[in-house]
Amino acid sequence: MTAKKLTRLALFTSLALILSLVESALPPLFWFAPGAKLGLANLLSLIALFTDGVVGGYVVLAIRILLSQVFAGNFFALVYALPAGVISYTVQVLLVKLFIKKIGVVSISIVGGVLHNLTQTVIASLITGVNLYSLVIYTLPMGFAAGLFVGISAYFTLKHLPEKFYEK
Amino acid sequence: MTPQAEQLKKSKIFTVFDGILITVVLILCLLPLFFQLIVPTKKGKSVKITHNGTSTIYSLSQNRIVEIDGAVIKIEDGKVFFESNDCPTKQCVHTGKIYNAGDSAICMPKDIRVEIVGDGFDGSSK
Repeated sequence: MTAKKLTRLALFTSLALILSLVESALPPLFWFAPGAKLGLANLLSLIALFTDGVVGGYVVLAIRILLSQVFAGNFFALVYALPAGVISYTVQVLLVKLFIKKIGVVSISIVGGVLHNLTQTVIASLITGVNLYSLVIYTLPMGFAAGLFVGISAYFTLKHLPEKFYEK
Repeated sequence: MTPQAEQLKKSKIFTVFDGILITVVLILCLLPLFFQLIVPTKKGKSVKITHNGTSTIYSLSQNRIVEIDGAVIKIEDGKVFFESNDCPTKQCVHTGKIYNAGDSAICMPKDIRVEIVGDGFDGSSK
């Protein structure tokens, strides 16, 4: 791991944490699951996927999820934040690897966003034992919107990053 | 530069396949909303309050105040809500009044679940 790569990943991780902080300031979308997020920070994992490959993205993902709960002081939220992040990111990786020639990063991000919120809702429902599935009515569209926003941001960021940035 | 990054630099932001995928996902996201609008909501008959494994069922037709572990739950005019709670986030209080079968208010830190039970038609009672 070169210093450049290390710095790049560290930069992405801290940016992701800032986005997490901003997200928590929004009104709680997931009132039944304290600590559940919109998934905006996935923007950085997605960018890391393009600059540093699958592993780079996983590194940013794992560290940002763990640290964001350390900062929030809410380790219980890891029960739904971690699976949601991993499932959402893994599916996005598969889509990128298989279909990037045909599908843009925007729709991949949308799928990731929806999956992220769906996973959070499912796990919170299993944990509490209460039927929370009616809540997908607004969590899924919000995931769609978040994914759309992240996808467009990722596209323009990656399109304009200078060549030098990608150096290992 | 990673292969996927090179690919992205060459590509347009939206393709036809994008449009198809997005439309499919959008429809899937809005499906639950359509179901909610088509299937009429059932009015609740009773409320089940579960705390640490024990459940008690109260009828919604009688006004009542239930106190559990520092939380005050009110049954009033066929509706149920957390009037007050000494938990840190107070998400339960923010949920407001619930009255449709299947609706719920939960206090996660204290493991208190308040669920409206209908007459079982839409799977709201377990």
